[in-house]
Amino acid sequence: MRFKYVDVSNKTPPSLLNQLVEKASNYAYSVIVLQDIPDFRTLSDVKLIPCTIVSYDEVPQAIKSKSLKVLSARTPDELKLSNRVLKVLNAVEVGGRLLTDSKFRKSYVKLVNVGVPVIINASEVLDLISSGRDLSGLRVLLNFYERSRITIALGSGARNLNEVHHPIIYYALLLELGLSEVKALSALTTNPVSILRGAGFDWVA
Amino acid sequence: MTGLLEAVYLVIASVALILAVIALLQLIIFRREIRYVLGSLNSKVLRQVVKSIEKRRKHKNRYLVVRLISSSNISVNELQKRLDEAFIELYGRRGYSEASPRVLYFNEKTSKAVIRVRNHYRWGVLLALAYLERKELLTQVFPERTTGTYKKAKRYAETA
Repeated sequence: MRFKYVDVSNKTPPSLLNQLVEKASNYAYSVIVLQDIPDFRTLSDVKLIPCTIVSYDEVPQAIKSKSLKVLSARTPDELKLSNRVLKVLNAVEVGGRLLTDSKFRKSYVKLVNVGVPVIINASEVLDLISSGRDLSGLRVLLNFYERSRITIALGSGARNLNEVHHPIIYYALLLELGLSEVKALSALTTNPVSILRGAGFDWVA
Repeated sequence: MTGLLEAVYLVIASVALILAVIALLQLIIFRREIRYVLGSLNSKVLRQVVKSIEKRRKHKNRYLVVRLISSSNISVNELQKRLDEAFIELYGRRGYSEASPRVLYFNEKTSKAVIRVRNHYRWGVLLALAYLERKELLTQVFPERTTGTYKKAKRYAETA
């Protein structure tokens, strides 16, 4: 049986949709969560789910859309998790300074206490690695995940076709970052599925 | 005769009882020590032990079978050169010398390559290949298999 994977965060422009689906199908992805598509559709056995990435102020507009609602947070100030936000959101996408600085431990503790799933973009992590940046913030987050205090899903975060990689390569990335094999695999398989189920897409896997 | 047997059984039972009481007393006395030992055997300690054992293990080679799709024709030497550059950029020269990744075989028909690498760096080679994919030097990278011998790896690389 061929194992099926879920890409929980993809930012490839819609003009490259057919090529993206072809590549994702080759790489055994069954579901892709895409940012710029209006509604759910299936192309060559790959299910495409719309995603709305919002900041704190845009949350009221996101309520109506039938998509995966993700709060994008790149600094601790953007990580406002009020009850109003938590009612609407399905996950929090962490990036920028939150990945590179370890002094924002309080923000991660906030995420742990609230229990919202966290999405990390592999593309951004690979960019940070290739530019030689410190990933101490990410390490703190992964440490919480290793102790099962938080749910993390790794998405490709691809802005272009060449940034979409095979799931085993993402697995390799997580292992190199210090996660155990079980946790690394679940960040690519079961955790994305549970996020999608939480958003009402029960039938995806 | 039966009286003698009963006496023997009684002696054995009493000795067993005394031993059980002594064991119980020992358990109570050393309870704190036992709890300390069990507490220290958590996952973190075990992981450190496993890591130290892995370090002491002989540096074994692993043979990765990967299917590489490129827009242009690619030779073994060219692939080796690109892989070296990517690996050095990610892990530095020290990491490269420890891992010593070598492209041993590339089948143009199946477009599968066999890469030899030290066991600890097998995931690093896949990351280096992903790095080449990001730079558009390779179009697609499919990790297929990891084997312990070159013979087996070549057999997998020859089959489509």
